[in-house]
Amino acid sequence: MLAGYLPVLILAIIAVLFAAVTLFVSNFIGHKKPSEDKLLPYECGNVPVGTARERFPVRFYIYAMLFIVFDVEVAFMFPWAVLFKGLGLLGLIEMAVFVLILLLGLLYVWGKGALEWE
Amino acid sequence: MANIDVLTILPDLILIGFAFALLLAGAFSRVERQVNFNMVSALAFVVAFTVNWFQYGADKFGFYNMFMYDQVAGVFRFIFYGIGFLVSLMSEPYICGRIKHKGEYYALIMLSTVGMSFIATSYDLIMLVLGLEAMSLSVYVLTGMFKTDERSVEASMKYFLLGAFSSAIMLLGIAFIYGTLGTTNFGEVLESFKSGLGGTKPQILLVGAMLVLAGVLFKVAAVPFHMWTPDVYEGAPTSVTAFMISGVKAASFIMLIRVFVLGLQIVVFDIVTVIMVISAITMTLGNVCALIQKNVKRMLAYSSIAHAGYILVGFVALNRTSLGAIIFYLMAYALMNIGAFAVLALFQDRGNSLESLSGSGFKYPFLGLMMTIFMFSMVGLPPTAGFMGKFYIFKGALEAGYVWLVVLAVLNSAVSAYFYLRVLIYMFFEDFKGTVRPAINATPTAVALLLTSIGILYLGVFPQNLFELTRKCMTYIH
Repeated sequence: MLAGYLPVLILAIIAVLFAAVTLFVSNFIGHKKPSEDKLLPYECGNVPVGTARERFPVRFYIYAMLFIVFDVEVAFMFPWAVLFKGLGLLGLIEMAVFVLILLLGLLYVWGKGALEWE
Repeated sequence: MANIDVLTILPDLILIGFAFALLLAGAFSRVERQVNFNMVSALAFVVAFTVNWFQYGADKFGFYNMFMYDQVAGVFRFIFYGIGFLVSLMSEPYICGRIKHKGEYYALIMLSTVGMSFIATSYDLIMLVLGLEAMSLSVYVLTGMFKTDERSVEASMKYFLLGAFSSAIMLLGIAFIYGTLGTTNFGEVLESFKSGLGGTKPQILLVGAMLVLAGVLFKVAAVPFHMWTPDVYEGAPTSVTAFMISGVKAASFIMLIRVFVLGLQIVVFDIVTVIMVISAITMTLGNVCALIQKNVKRMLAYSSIAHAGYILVGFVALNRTSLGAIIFYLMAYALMNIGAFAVLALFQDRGNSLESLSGSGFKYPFLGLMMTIFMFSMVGLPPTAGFMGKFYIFKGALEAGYVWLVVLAVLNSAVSAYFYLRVLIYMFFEDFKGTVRPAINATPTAVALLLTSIGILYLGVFPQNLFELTRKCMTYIH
């Protein structure tokens, strides 16, 4: 009964072997000429100005969380907008309910004073 | 529109509406003006309960077969809304002054109840998981509601991490089930058993079922997934513990019944052999560990593990009597736990050691009497609901022929008498030390105490009607 899953096992073994072999071989036969520039952390081509692990105010986290809420909203709205005609009135109502709930969330955040930079 | 049928979840929608209203009211009003939030919350549960009352009876499908509202779901909604109502009533004196944002507290109680109700109504594994998450996420936050109390925050963190793991394990199991059967819908699962598989049982389906079982047993707090229980129940605010110990437990058991008796019937007998062993270990371990606890909340947490063991006996027997008895037991269990925790919450003590209760029984006779009823019910002495619950569970198990399991459970009940009655010994036979003082102006809590104690005595003396109802609603099995 488990024979049907044999290909999965073989694939898994091959994947692990492939990763292990490439890592090992490149480590073994690759040339290594480290220079200061090569060892710098990659920051999109700019010269790094300091460590990336800085502490920054906790207030940003609230904004990050709020951003997620509305980001997800858009991710949900795109497919709906593409299929707008097919979904018809029902889709419109459902989207209205969804946006209304998010709006209540925004109102709540506002009432709590989370939008103010203290 | 016919496939959607909003009526299947109408009471829950009402609760969601109330929850949003309370959230906004809490955000936009001053803290001093939020004294009546508990009443609003209680009202919401009364409305939801009433709506469910009128809906009860007819089977309905909704949201493209995502929900099935049948009688079992109806009965469990009664239980959940009742629990929410009682917890709303009893919370105020305990959280008052400790929680600033009461709107959030009551809204989370309501949203968590909605999650439980979704579990009881779900007809699809995905909907079940959504309900589970809605319930759990709210409870994680509620557990950490005392933001400045280390133990509360620690409990919340522990519960969240372990709960997230268990959900992940459960989802993995669902993925296996989907991989085997190509569907997550209970109706289609049953259909595929009949036609596609032709009576065979793929191994991988069993793997999936076991993983789902592990997720469910985590929520039930059965051995070996019980480790979080004492810490979380002790650290959480007492009113939240009452909510978790009764509501989450009831939701976990309907999840167990819904998944394995209604949906994956084909593997239920494989599951039962596992659960038989687990239930025996669970009740023994719960009772033995409860013997040595000095903290009342911790003792009740271990006792909840033991009770989970008893209820699992009902699942092992797997006949109509025993499954009906599970529902009955969950009702009784919810009543006595909410009552006991309401007394603890009224004392407003954060330590909850047994010594701190010394002499309080004679000093505050009403609370002493209430605690006596609840503890007698926990032991399972007649004429309380706890006795009838155990009686029906054991009856169902005997009908199915599990004599050794019943003997073990009865022996365990005898052991449990020691630590339940010890609470009463401290309350009545020790000198009052003045360590606890009940809150004043706690009429709603007193009402909740009266309701729970009357309910316990009523179910203990006239159990027949309700038991017939629970037995009749269990239509999944003949």
